[in-house]
Amino acid sequence: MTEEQQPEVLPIIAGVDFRFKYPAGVYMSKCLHELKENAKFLGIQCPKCKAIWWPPQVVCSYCHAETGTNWVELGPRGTVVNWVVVHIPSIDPRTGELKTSQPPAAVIRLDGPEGGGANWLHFLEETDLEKIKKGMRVEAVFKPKEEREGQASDVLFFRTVEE
Amino acid sequence: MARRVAIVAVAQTKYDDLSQTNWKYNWEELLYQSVKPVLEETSLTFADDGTGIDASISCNDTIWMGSPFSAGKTDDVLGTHFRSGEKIDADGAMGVTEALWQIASGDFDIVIVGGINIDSAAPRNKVENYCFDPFYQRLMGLDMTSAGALQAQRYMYRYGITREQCARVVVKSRRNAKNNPYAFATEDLSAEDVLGSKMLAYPITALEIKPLVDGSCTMILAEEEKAKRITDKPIWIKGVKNCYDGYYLGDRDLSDCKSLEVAAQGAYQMAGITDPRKEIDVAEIGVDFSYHELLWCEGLGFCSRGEGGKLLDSGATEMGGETPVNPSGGALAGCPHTVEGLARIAEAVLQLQGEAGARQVPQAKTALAHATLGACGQWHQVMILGKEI
Amino acid sequence: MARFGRRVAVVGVGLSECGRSRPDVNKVELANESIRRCLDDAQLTMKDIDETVVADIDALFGIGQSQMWLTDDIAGYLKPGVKVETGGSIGGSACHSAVHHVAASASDVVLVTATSKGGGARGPIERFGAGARAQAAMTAGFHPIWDRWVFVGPLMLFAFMANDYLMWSGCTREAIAKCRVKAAQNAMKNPYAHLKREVTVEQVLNSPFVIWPLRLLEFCPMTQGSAAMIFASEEKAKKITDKPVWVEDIVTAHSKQYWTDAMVPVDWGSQEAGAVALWKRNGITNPWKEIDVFEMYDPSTWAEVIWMEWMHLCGKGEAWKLVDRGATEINGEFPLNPSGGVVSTNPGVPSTTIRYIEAALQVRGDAGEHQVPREVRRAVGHGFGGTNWNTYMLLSKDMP
Repeated sequence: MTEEQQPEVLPIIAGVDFRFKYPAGVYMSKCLHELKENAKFLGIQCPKCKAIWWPPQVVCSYCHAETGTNWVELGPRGTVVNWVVVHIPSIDPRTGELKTSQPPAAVIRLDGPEGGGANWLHFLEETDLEKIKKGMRVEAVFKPKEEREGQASDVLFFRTVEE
Repeated sequence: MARRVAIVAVAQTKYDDLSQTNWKYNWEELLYQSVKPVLEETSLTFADDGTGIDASISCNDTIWMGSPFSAGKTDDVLGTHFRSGEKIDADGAMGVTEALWQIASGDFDIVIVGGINIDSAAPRNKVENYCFDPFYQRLMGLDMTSAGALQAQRYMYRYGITREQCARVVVKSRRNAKNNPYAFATEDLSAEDVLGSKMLAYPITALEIKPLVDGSCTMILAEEEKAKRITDKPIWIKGVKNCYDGYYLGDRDLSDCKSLEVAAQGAYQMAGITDPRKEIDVAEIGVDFSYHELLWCEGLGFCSRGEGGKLLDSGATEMGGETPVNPSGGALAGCPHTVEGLARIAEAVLQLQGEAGARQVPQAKTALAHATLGACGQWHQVMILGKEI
Repeated sequence: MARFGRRVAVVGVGLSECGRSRPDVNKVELANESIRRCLDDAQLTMKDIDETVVADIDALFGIGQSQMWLTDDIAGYLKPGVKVETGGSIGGSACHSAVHHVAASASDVVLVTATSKGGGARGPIERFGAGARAQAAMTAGFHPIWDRWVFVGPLMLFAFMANDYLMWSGCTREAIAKCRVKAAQNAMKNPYAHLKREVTVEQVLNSPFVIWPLRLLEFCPMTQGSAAMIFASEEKAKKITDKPVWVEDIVTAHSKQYWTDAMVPVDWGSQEAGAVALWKRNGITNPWKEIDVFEMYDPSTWAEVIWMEWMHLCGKGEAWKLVDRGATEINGEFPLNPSGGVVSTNPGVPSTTIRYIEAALQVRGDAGEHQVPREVRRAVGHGFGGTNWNTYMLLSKDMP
């Protein structure tokens, strides 16, 4: 077939619209419930190797022991260990809408018992890059109770605090 | 086969519709419910020094779970942190074959295989429609039921299989399922009940299609030496073969099941079986629609082509018959997608271990476990398991 | 080697044309393109294939149970087969499955196929739109309730990785930029690379931030393409080719579910666990000296540098200095990604297969213009993906 005779390529858009239900499960449900009702962070500690899991889960990923009911309270303060700023548009997974901006995203090490802790990916209130430092102390700012849904977004962001 | 491999422990959750309890468990919690019993039964732990479970294979279907890299949501309970964990994106039966070859190759000695699905959380018809190619078949709105209906009609037309025979497959399944503590749907049904239920796609009615249920199944495979130390009832994999047919529904006569025949012949040859009806004591086969059981029995060589209905009528595949098919009730009594083939292997193991309780086929020594996937049974796997090495 | 039942070799490789989009073919045709080339490379026909292994991520590409549709075009008809899915490392997991099947005597000749054919980007104006969609599709792989709403795809992961390394290692951005320049130079010598244009240090340092501190040129493109490999038993391999590339070892390491710790970083331990297992099992005490070529899965230039340390190729904090002085150039002490790497060509699903193919080509001496100018007896291919799967394959010229 010569180039002139090559057929036109016809693309088709095969869009799909799926709605799935994602179960949080027994352990995560409990922690989301605590966020909503009591503005508290409830993680779980492995009884064997003492690793703290946030979000809580049924077995320890490291040593595979059952976590049982070893609930531990975390936060509400923590330490910033890393951060980034998104400059490109991204898609909000809950609405499918294009998000053009979001606050700096940070990994915050939530305070835990006996000097331990657990990391969480969340937003910072501080948007000035000059003011964000590794090791800075932050505290969770919650939505007012009537607006909380039992989601990670019940925490609006983490605010810098002096200590 | 390079090394002999046995299944040393199996566990299933009770299959249930979790939507009724607002989906209490997430994937890893649901999978853990079948992982925990096999770990307890074998006293095995996850170990890196050859003293425990070396590797894991997780089986789940990304489009049913609604997430790519779906194994990430289940692998923690399979002990894969910093260890070998593979993921089979198809029925768990393929995962068992994968574990078999991983062990037979010499790479690992003990492998755990876990399969899970939460059918009730997924939009079934859309997910199934997604499996058809976007240029021709998808646009016709096909899902597995309507595709199956095409196959059922062709099969019935060619060989004179009746709707009533298909309905009696469901009656038999539900009746058998009463003896299965894991089954979901165990109510008494008559053929009239089945044929009188809502028509989905002629000739398939609502009661002729496997219900949507949730659950998991886990098993542990081991090489010969370790298998014998772990349990005094290791069940040996004597033969296995799977096979793909062509894709487009119009490319084949849907009343044929060539890929099943190839898979069955391959498995029989490997296991040294020449007369399946006589040598197989019990068969657990993948039945998503009532007509499947009749057609697959033909492909498996339990009867000649076209005689599937007569085989059912003869009672040979009933409990107490010569070749009981699906003493567990099979998927028509409820078994989730992805888990179905895996659970058939688990049931076959229980039969050969003599631990099938009220559904036990007496003195079963050789079992057949079958799985199918894809529209109109495009892919089939046949596995032969034996009590003796 | 001692533990594998049979020796396994790579006897054929095939790559499709890679580009930003391939509107001239549909998915199965694209898969078929690299398979035909692979069969030609091995001088085999479809009849010679005993079994197929399909690597695909259904939920990313819009075709459920894609191995079914692919069957007719991948020599799969009336044959057994496997379908695996492990995120970006999928191309490697598929090869590992093939190795297991051949070593176990399940089959003698196994074909691995990996294809990436999505909608394809549709023009510069929509570039970020298409990129956002791709990142969102991959974000769907992370926890739906916990991770997805802050996480902006794998891009964010590498941005965190970059910021952490910048904070403690003393690395210069110039060193990282040089690594990216190297990738471009290598890619220009590779007919199958996607991005084949020169990149300068200035361009890298001035490219816009996609996610601060990660710059656009420090991250991989979106590519459409496919790859295929044929693995065969020793007996068959010797008949098929006089240049079999022996599979000495394979290792897979997965990781716990949540990515948060990897953004500190704490959790490149999976990269480390897999590499350490590979070195230990094969008596390799100094990989920097004992491995001749390394094809690493580098979704970002930062990963290529930082994972050198986690894979024990050098000490912590040393990698950027080595890169800065050109040690990983194609003619350097330790050629890393002479193909241009994932940062030059990223079809995703085939990306790890391509790493293994490139490593095999180096061992065979068939990498053409991007062949490293030294004797290659041992090469390593690496794959990464999803929730931090890592796969490694050790290939050698000498029969193990």
